Amino acid sequence: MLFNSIHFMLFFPLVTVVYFIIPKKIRYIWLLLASYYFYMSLDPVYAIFLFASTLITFLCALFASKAEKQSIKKLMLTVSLVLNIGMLAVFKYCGFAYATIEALFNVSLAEPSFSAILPVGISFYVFQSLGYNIDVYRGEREAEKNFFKYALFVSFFPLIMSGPIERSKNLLNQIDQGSSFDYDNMRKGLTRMLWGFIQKMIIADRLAVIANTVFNNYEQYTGFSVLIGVICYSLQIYIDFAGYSNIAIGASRVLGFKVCENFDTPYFATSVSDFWRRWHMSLSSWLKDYLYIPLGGNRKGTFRKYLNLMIVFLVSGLWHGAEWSFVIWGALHGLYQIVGSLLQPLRDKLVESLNIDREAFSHKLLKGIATFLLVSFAWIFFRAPDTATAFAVIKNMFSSFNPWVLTDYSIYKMGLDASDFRLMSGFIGVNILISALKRQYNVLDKIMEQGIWFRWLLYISGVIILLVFSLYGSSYETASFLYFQF
Amino acid sequence: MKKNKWNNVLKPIIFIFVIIFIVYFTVWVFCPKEMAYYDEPANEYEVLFFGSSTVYTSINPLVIFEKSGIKSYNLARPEQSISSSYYYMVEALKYQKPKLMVLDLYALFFYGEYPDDINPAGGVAAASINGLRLSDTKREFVEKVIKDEDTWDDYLMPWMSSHNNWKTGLGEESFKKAEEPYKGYVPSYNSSDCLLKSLQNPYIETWSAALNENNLDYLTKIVKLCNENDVPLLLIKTPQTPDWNYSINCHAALKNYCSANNLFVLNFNGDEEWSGVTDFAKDYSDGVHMNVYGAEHFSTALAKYIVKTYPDVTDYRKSDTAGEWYEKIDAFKAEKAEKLASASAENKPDEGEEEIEKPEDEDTDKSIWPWITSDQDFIDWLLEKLISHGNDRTVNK
Repeated sequence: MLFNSIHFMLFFPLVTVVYFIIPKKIRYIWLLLASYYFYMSLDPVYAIFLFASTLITFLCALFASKAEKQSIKKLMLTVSLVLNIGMLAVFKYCGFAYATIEALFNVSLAEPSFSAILPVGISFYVFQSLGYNIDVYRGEREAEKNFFKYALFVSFFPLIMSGPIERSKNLLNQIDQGSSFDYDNMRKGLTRMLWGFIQKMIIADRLAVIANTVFNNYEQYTGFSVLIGVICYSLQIYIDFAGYSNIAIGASRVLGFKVCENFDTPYFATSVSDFWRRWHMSLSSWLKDYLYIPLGGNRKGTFRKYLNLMIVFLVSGLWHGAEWSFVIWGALHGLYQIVGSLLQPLRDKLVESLNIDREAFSHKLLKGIATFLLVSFAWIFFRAPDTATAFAVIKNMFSSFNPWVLTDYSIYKMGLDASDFRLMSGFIGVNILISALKRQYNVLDKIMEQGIWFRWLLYISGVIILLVFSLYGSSYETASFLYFQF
Repeated sequence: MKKNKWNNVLKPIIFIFVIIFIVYFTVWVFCPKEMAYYDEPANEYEVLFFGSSTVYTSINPLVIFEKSGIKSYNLARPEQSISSSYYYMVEALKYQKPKLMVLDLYALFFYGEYPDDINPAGGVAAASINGLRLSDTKREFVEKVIKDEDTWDDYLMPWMSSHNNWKTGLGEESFKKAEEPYKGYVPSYNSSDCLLKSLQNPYIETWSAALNENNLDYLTKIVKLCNENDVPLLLIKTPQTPDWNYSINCHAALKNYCSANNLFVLNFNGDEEWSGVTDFAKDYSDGVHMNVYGAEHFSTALAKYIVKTYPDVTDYRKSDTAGEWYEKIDAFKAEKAEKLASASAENKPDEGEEEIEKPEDEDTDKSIWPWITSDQDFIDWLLEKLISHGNDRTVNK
């Protein structure tokens, strides 16, 4: 089920109302049933993989925590890792491996039919349940004894599709304790969901029109037209995923669960490593805790640090998709950071000799713009269906100098008419404003401090704006969230 | 405790009511309005008219009441197809018990159910469908008449496409209920000398005389519907110049079909008795659409015919409810006078548009059709008209 569907608009209130009516002791059962229904409404077959992954990680953790010998604990973790990553490999990477082998050795292989099934959200819940296994192995938490509570942790419907990737220390503990109705959680959660829907259906879906026009017909666009498409995609992927995350976090909060944040104004980042501290935080912190640090992090010398960085970003690339373009995307981010680190002395010298104040807004702005452009450039590999297309898009972008496309209204001919474009720009402005405020205040708390007339006006106008300005109807296909494909 | 109750129970309930009300109002403002027919008192009207624009520009229920006391309502819509007319009749019969239903057969030669435009947001199909209340009739109407299944939801839930109206803006009419002050009649104040136009630049866009199966099916359904409900059906064809849409062959095909199926059509074209009802030089805005004078002449003649042929209809001119009708008639006359005054100030005769002047009654020869049976006849007729008509006018070449 998609968040942006009539189905969810009926499902969510029903689940919430029943959840708070029934006794607290059995609420998790209700939420588990709701979560499986939510997940299976896309394709019932997917539930098999979800259940298998849940059962494997549950049992391995249980055995590991009961075992006294370290070797058995290790064995249990290995079994869980092999089976889960094996499942990912079979369903996500089989086709990719076949294609690569075919290309390398110039042979033609019959691809197994199951490689076409890619259970939605598999990358997210496999990481989430493996994280739990590693926590238990490290002795950082007890193994969960109630299978159904654990199954809810893995399948919790607000997060099952695209995260945030939760930690057992946070969400599983909350599930163990159960949640009670809380008026403040309810209104803050709903407000956050409303903003998430606005981000998705008013801003991101419109940005997608331009990005798709350019990327799907890249032969017809050159120079600045391509740049517009690339920047629109940069904004789209952020606002789409942030919108999704706001809905997921808001929905969890309505039900009384506080799940982790996923974004912290990533395009205000002043360097690529800063960007990764703000972008898809639940994934980057997962990779840091369960991959980068076990690899040795930055404790084993400069070379190992760079190598570890590269490994983490290559894994991150592959995690996003079984395609060489994702690997290049990951490698670019790894390279950006290594080169940035290598050039650090040179940059320090430059700043010193030019007498630049590092704390000045202008300097931060310059760094912010440079970071945004580097990140946007890498997104080309992320968005293009394959590596060849990505290179063709880049080639077209530098093939002509045509700044007039910014001034001759050809922007309005890229799939969005003038009124849609202006509306979208206005809401991007609102989004930037909210992001800027977020760095100073807790915006939700600030809203809740205001008088009732202001809050009600805000909620009501939010709903009306969503109803009127969203893209839907027969002329428009409902767009799924971008991160569902990973 | 008291404060908690206010916060946790009452406030959310009030909030939900407020938001439902505001959402309902917004949807109402953006969506097409239900047709004014629904606001009319039940079982009020004895005669109902159906058809396309040629009907709502030529039949004025207020004139009919003034001349005969019959209470009638015009339910014609732009390019209303025969199938649409059928569903309009089904819908109309839910609210009224008419003693006569009149259907114009202009649409009998439409190529399909709808000529072409099936845009749910605008378009002629939408003009017919959007005013209807959501009901099984409307659902069946959409599913039978609209070919593109993907747009069905847009017709049945108009919000799906009309939420985009923010782009075009929302005018005064968006904030008001639909109004039909003249009982469905839509006056046209433009005047064009159709004779002169036919002479200078004949329209000559005549339709194929091939009868469309689908249209005939719905005509059969209409006949059946009227029989089942015990309502007499009068088929008519409003007058038009011979160069417009209905070709000589169409008229012949219509005649043949009706006589083969034992249907009577009151065709105002080609019948000597009706040839003088309207004047093509003064009563039209184009070759098929009458202006306000034409509607007055035509409605008068039709009223006379109905009174003569259907003695069941009642003359309400002396009833208690007549006052309301006369108020509407006065309002219409006032608007007509005002519009005509401004139209004659704007219209310059040398632009091809004739200044409107009230035609003198009983002109000598307004009939055209009896002599025309072939294209050659039509050319002869044009030449003849040119000579007899053009003494005081110059034909610009």
